[in-house]
Amino acid sequence: MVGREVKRPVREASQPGEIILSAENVSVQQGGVDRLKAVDFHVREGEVLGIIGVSGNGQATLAQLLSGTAKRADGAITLFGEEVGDLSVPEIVDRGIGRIPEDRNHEGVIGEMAIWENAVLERIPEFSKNGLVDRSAGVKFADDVISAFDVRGATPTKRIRLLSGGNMQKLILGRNLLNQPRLLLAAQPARGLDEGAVAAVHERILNARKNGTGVILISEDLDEVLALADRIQAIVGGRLSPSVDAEDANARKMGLMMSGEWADQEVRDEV
Amino acid sequence: MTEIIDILSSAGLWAAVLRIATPLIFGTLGALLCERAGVLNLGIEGIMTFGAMIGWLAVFNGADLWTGILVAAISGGVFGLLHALFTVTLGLSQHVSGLGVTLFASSFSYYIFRLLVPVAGTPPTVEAFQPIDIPGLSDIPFIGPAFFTQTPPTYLAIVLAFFLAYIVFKTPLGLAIRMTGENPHAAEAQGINPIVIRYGCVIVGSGLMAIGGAFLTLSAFNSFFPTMVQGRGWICIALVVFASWRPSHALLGALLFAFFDGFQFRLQTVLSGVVPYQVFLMIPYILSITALAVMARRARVPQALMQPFRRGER
Amino acid sequence: MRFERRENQPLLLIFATPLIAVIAALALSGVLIALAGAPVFEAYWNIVKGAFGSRLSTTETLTRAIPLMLTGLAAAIAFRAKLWNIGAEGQLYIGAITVSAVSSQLLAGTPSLIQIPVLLICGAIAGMILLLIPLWLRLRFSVDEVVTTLLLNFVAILFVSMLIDTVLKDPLAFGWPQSLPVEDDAMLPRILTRSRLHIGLFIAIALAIIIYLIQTRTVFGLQSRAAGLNPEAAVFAGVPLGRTLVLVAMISGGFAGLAGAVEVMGVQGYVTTELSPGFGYSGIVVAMLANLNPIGVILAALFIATMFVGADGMSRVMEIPTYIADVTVASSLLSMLVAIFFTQYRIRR
Repeated sequence: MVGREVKRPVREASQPGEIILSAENVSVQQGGVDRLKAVDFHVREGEVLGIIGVSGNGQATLAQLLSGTAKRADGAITLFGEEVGDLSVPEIVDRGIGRIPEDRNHEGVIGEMAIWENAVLERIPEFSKNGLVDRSAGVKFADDVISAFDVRGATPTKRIRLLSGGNMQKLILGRNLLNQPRLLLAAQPARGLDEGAVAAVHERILNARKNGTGVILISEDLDEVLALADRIQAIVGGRLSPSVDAEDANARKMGLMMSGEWADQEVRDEV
Repeated sequence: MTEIIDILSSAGLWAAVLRIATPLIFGTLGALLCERAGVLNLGIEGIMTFGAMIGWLAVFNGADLWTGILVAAISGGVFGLLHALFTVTLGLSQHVSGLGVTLFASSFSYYIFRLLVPVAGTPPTVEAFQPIDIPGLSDIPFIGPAFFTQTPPTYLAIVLAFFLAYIVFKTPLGLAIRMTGENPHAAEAQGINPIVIRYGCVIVGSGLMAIGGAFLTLSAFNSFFPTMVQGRGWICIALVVFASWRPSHALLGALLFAFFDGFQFRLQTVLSGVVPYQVFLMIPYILSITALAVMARRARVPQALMQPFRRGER
Repeated sequence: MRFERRENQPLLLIFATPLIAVIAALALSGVLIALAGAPVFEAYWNIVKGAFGSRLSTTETLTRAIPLMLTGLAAAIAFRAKLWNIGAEGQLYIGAITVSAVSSQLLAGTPSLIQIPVLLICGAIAGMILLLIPLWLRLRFSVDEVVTTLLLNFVAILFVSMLIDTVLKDPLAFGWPQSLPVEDDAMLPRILTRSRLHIGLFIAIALAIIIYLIQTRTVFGLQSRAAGLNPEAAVFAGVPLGRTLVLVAMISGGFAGLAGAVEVMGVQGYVTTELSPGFGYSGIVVAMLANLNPIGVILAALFIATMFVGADGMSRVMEIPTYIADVTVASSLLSMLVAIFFTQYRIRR
């Protein structure tokens, strides 16, 4: 379909490092409803934690929590060894955390703005001085991302909505990964992309993992999670299952996890 | 205190309440219909102005009163068509398009009026609607003069409110309208044509707005002068929110508002020495803003309000 | 028939758009003039003569353009961030009455060099505060600011009327109630003698340039643009939406209040309820014709001033109501919307 042979990249063995982020007993409420209930998870340097679940079980809320657009109601989050309160988006970006949003068109980019503007908007303090935008630095950054991440059909001053979905996603990945973040949150990173773009996205994620970035991958695609993750947790009804190592995970087992078979009866009734 | 009781117990107040409410009922129902289908129609102020002018002009030139109302309704519908063209077909900003229609309809109405009606010392008048006598009901002491000596358009407005409530909530057409306002793509999947529904609602709604304007010149007053609508259109927009997009509540909201307006007016004559009249005149607008603040979060807004509908786009 | 998004907007089209809109509006007005039984081109010629035919009329046109530039900037700044400030009319009046009050009550005897800047700032702050009320209602109660700013216009004008009738009434004025005048030292100096043209023109143009620079060069400009184009993505990218909107509202309301202050201090020196023939609402048309570009606002304001002053002159020699100017201005807005649409979309069969 793409016109050339595409093979999805394969995860190599690796040695995860220290724990970067851990969450204990975290709950999040939205619109008066409990969306995340007492979840526990952690991720280490150089490992991919996969969160698998059918849409509607709290993934969006989890992504928002980690992106800085939702607040905790309860529980503790430890980042780089220190417990943290609610962090704003600029604080999160400042600490070297990259975020790939679920909906690239509505959340990830501003269609009418130039590619370079979209590349620097979330890290604008790095590209401005005394309140004035450093346009040439921004354009250069965009250029670097475009060449390093093979974003086709892009020039920094072009409107970003003219890019194809795959190239847009590559740009979003690139603006986060170019400077080696310590932690990457990727929510449905390959959604709606063609095979070639999917392979490219997966390769970048695995590359980041090889370079020591901790990755939290939230996805509905079981194949994707099985291929990329070192450990997997299922999200069901706002709760997270215990972690399953990649060696022990297979489609059947994960399917069962996604229907809540690990939880006690009360939770299973909720699902 | 006694003055307040005096005011409340005068039949004149309650008759005034119904009279003041009438253009608001028409306007609010018209705006409500547009918004139920998903279109905010800020052309209301201009459409009411034009309706006031053209209805009066028709009667001034010899038409009978109901024809005047009809002429107003039709011209309202034409402006509605214009607004629908901009917002439904072209998908332009509903805010700016509506404001444009208001500016255009108002200025156009003043132009036509000044062109066709010579400037005179006192503005020319027409023979307005007369209150009609309902045999039996109009004779009841207090209640008769208070509620049952209104002009025909007032009774029409009240009947219309219930009629619209029935249509919106109890008929397939109403369901189609509500679906279009909540989720036009889902409505389309059900075989409803959201474009036709939106056009229809905006045209009919605008017609209603214009009738509300015509009431001002053919019933409440009997002449036309620029800026006579005085922001009633905007108040109607606020009342739609206050009524939570329900026609029956719109009727109640308009009556409640008219009560405060009528009361404020009579209070003026009592307190005129002490409090400047402008304070009283401010009350309706401040009330509308307060109503909005109270209801905006709670009201169940049609989800697709202000979203342009583009086929094939998710 | 479908509409298809254009890939890029040819630069020529971007500049031609307001021109096409204006021509379309003038064509429509031509029809209305013909309906009035008057020769169309003669009417237009009289409008041009009315606006630029003599030194006096030219200076009048420029003078009329000044408040339009300021309310146009107020609207353009707000609309760019999708803040629907329709309250410029009321903010203008509040700015005007503030200037009258402060000058006559607090600054009697203060020299021009101090009084003028202080009063301009006071007028701006007054307008700012008025807009912050609907903004607060939007942020706190999710109330759409369109209706609240509109309704506040009526409240503000009534409030000003009340002040003119009572505490700020000018006891020396006969007939129509008017406010206490500002001090002589508060009046803006004239640019040309024997005309009403005042330095407000330079102030407005300078501000337009400053706003343009802010919008294109600063972080605030970038963030407010992002907030207007896609609030969800802006929030995700860490743009402080609330704070940004507050700043936008302060500037927008400030400019509208400034328009009132400048109009009082530049022209008559006192406030009446007739101070503004709809400058606030015309400012919206100015902003749209300029496609929300601050530099374009200067040109658009000149066009609209030309229409109003020109129509005044024309109606003195021909039997056409001056409202033709209002109709032309309003239809320019509508035709500009359509024209903008066609720069972004093309028709496909």
